[in-house]
Amino acid sequence: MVLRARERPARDEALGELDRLLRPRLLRFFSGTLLAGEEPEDLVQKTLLAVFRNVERLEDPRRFIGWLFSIARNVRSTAQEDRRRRERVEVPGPAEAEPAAPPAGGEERDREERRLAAIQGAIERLPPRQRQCLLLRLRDDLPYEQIAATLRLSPRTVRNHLAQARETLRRELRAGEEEDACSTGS
Amino acid sequence: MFDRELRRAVAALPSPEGGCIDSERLVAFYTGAIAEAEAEPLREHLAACARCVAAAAEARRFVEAIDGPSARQVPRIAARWRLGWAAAAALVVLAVLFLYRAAAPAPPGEASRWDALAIAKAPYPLPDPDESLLWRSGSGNVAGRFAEGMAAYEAGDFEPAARLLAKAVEESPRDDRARFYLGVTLLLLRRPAEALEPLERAAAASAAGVRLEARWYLALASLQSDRTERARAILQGVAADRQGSRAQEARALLARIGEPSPAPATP
Repeated sequence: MVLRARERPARDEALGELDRLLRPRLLRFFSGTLLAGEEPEDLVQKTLLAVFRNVERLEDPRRFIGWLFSIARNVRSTAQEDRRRRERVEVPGPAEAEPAAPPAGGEERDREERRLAAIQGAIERLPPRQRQCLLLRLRDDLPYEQIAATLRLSPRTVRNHLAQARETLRRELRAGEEEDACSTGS
Repeated sequence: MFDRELRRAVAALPSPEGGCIDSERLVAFYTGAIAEAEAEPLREHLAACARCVAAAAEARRFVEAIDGPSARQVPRIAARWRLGWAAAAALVVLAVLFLYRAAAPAPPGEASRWDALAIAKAPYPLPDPDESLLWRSGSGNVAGRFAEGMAAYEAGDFEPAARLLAKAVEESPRDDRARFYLGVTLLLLRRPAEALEPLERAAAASAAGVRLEARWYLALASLQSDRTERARAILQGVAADRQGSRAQEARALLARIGEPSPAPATP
């Protein structure tokens, strides 16, 4: 973009203010997510340079914070990729993989698969909020507070949904087992 | 044993269909810039996609790191930028203003054209089946203070209601329900600038019923405080929320506000 001479001082001043506003905040972000070999100040500098280069192309003001986050993430992943590339050169190849466990026997495997499918079906039938909380708890091992923060709910609500989800699953699976026992016995 | 089985079943669940949530939407979700109706599919995806959970944690850290006291400096910067730097840069300032709600209130004594806007009382209690347990929060004196405040509110005695509800909020700062009714009461007392802060915080409440109603009253308070653009943005969110009870009213009010005024030309 070509600026007229009288616009330049205002532009420089504005960029200076933007720098002053964003630099400490970006530093706070990068300092909290650092990996070995990365300097937070470098990442901040690269992010700000990208912001200054592209800010005039941003059309919707509501996108600013999200747009800034995308830039910060890109800067960090590029730095991580560079670091991995350097390590690949320095470190020899990975050790041999562990041998896989022998597969279970046919009948036992079928029973296990049926049970797994029954549990998955019961999970799918849970009310959405209960299912969401349960998946984050079991798959990602998140504590209540983090589940709450992730889904924008209160920890108390998460606790209640999890308790209800477990109770429902126990009840459903017990009922399923009883039905199976009846049909096998008849 | 049961937990181990559950974990195995969850680990074997198929990955979600469709693409992951992009960074900008994640940030919008955590800054509250996304309407509740749009937030639900994001929650669904987060529950099913471990990759997005990791990205979400990063987005939350980012939002926390970016927010802070120095955001208050922004209005001053905006004033300097009137010199006429590129329009996009001015928009950036507006974006920060929008997100941090740091704009200065309208000067006292200056009448807003929305002063005469008819504002109805918020119903009590709010219908909110999903979060009903939260309504039992608070105990002893705090719960008593809230009940007294609401009795005054119900009777239309808004001055004592505001005093009692402010006390309830002071004693139980996490009580979003008391904060919400305090904001509504202040609005009914024609003190919209004071209503902004409690309503802002109630609009970020975890209880959906409080959050949705607070957004509507926050829009009204913004309008009466001469923050038309902020009001418009909130109303657009409320109008887009098809499950919300205020969607129709929000659309009608948006039509009354009219289109945004054109951006000033770059010299």
